[in-house]
Amino acid sequence: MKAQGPGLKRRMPAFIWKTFRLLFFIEISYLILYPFLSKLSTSLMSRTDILDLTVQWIPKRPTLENYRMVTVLLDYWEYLYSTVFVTLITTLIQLAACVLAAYGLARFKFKGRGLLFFLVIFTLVVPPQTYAISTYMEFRFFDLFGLGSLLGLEPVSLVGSPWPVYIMSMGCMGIKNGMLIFILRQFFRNLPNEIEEAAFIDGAGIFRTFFHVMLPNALNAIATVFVFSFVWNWNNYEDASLYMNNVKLMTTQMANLTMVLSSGMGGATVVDPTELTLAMSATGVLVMLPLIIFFIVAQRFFVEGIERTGLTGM
Amino acid sequence: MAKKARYGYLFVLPLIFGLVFMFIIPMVRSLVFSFSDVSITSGSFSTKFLGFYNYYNALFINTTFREYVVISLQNTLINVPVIIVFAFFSASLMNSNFKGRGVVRAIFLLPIALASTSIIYMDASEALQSISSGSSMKESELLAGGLKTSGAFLVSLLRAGLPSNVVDYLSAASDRIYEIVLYSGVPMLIILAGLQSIPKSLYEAAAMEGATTWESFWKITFPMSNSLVLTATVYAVIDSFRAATNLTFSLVQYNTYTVQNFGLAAAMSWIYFVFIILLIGVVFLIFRKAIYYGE
Repeated sequence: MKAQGPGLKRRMPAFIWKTFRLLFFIEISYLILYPFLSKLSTSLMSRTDILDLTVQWIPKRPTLENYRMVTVLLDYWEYLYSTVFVTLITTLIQLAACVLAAYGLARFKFKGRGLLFFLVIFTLVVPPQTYAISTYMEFRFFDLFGLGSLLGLEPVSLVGSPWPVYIMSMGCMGIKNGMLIFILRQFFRNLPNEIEEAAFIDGAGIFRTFFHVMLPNALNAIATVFVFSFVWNWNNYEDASLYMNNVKLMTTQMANLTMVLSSGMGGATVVDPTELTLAMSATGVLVMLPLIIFFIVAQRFFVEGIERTGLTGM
Repeated sequence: MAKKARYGYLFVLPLIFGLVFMFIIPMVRSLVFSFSDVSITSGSFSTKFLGFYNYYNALFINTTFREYVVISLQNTLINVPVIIVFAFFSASLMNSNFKGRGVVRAIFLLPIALASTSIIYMDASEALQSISSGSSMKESELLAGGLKTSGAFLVSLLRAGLPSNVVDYLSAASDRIYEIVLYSGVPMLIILAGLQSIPKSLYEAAAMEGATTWESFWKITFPMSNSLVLTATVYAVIDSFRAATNLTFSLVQYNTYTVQNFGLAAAMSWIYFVFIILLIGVVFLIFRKAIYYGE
C-alpha cells in the first residue's frame, strides 16, 4: 500500500512535487511571520544600527533599550495584566453559556428548538455593527432590560466598564458566539446515546450526567472553543472601543499608539521619527507575543485530532 | 420524555435571554432607528418618525456610501474565492504526511490568532506616512527608519527603473495576498477538519480499483468535503463583511460616533445587510448544485 494522503498531486515526479510543496510552505510561512519577525528585528536595533544601511536583519549592536523604554511609556505590565484578566473572565463566561446552550440544543427535544438554532446561525450572518447602536443604548441607559424601571430604579450607564461585554457573553451574544455554539452542538450531537443512557440507568440525574459524563467527554471540543473564544475576545476591538475606553486594554491602546508614544517621548513635534519606529516595533512585538505564545501552546489541542472537535458532521 | 424537554429549556435559558434582549430587540430597534430621527437627551434618547428619508439620504444624498458599498462588495467577491481556493489547497497539503507537519500547521493557523491584530500594521503604516510627508527627513533616514524591512525590495525596483505605477500595483497585490492569508485561518481549519473526517478506507478502496490520486481527489475528496467548503465560504464572506478594515462599516461607525446621526447609520447598515444576505443566498445556490452533483 502506498503511504500517501489524499493530496492534490497528479502524476508528476515526486521530487518536483516535494520541492514545490516546500517552496509553498516557506513562502506562506514567511508571509505570515514577516510582520512579527521584522518588528522583532527592528526592535532589537540601536539607533546607530537602524541608520546603518548595511544592517539588514541581524542588528550589529543589539539592545533591549527599546523594550525598556516602551514598557515604561505604555505601562505594559499593567495593561497586560488587565487585558488577560478581562479576556479570561469574558471567555469563561462565554464558554459556560455556550456549552449549556449547545448541550440543550443537541441533546433535548423541545418546542422551538429548530427556531432557536436557526436564530443562533442567523446571529452569525448579521454583522454586529447593524445593531451595535441600539445595544450601546441599552447599556448606556441600563435598567436590567426593563426590569429596573418596573422596580423604580434609575437607569445606570455601564459604558466604561467591562460589564456590557460580560453580560453579552452571559447571554451567548459575545463575539462570534454563533460559531462557538455551532461547533459545540455538532460535537454533542455526535456523542453516542449509550453514554447518556448508561448514566441514566445508573441513577444519575440530568445535571450529574451533564457534569460528570458529557463534559469530560467533550474536553477536546471545549478546548478548541476556548482557544477561539480567548483569541477573538483578546482581539475584540469593536466592543473594547465602544464600551471599555477607560479600561486598560491593549487593543484600544494600539489604536492611538502613535499618540501615546510620541507624547510620552516629548510631544509630537519634537519626537524623533527613528526613535518612534524603534518604539513601535518593540510595542508590536510586546503585543503580539503573548497571543502567539498562547496560540502555539493551545493549538495542539485541536490541530491533532480536529475530526473529534465537532467541526465535522455538518 | 416530557420531563427531559423541560430540562432542555433550562439549558438554553441564557441563550433565550441573550437572543431576546441582545439580538432581537436591538435588531428591531435598529430598524426603527433607520426610519427615524434619533436624538440623545440627558438620561435617555428619543425618536421621531421620518419614513424612508434616511434610506434616501444614504443612497442618493450621501456621496460616499454607494461607492464604499461597491468597493466592499468588490473586495469580498475578489477575496473570498481566492481565500477558499488557498484554504482548500493548504488544507489538503497539511492533510498529507510529511516531516515537519506540526510546525507548518502551527504557522498556517497562526492567522486565526493574529487576524484582528492587523490594527497594529495599519497604525504602523500610518505613522510611516505621517513621517514621510510631514518631516524633513533625509531619504536615507526614511529608508533606514521605516522602509528598510518592509519595502526595501520595492525601493530597489524603483531604483532599477521600473515605472512607479507598476511598483504601486505590485505592492497593492502583495498587500492583498497578505490579507488573504490572514483571513484564511478559520476556513482552512474548517476544511482541514472535513478532510480528516473522510475515511481512509475510501482512498484505499479507490487505489485498489486502480484510481489515480487525481481521480480520487475529484471523486472522493472534492464531493465529500463540499458541505464544509460551504461552511468555510459562508464564514469567509461574513468575516470579510465584518472586518475592522471594511470601508462601509467604517463609514457607519463614523456616522454613529462622530456625526451621531444614528438614523442614517442604521439605514446604511440595513442596506448593507440586505446585500450580505443576497450574497450568502447566492453562495448557497451555487453550492446546492455542487453538493447535489457530489452525491
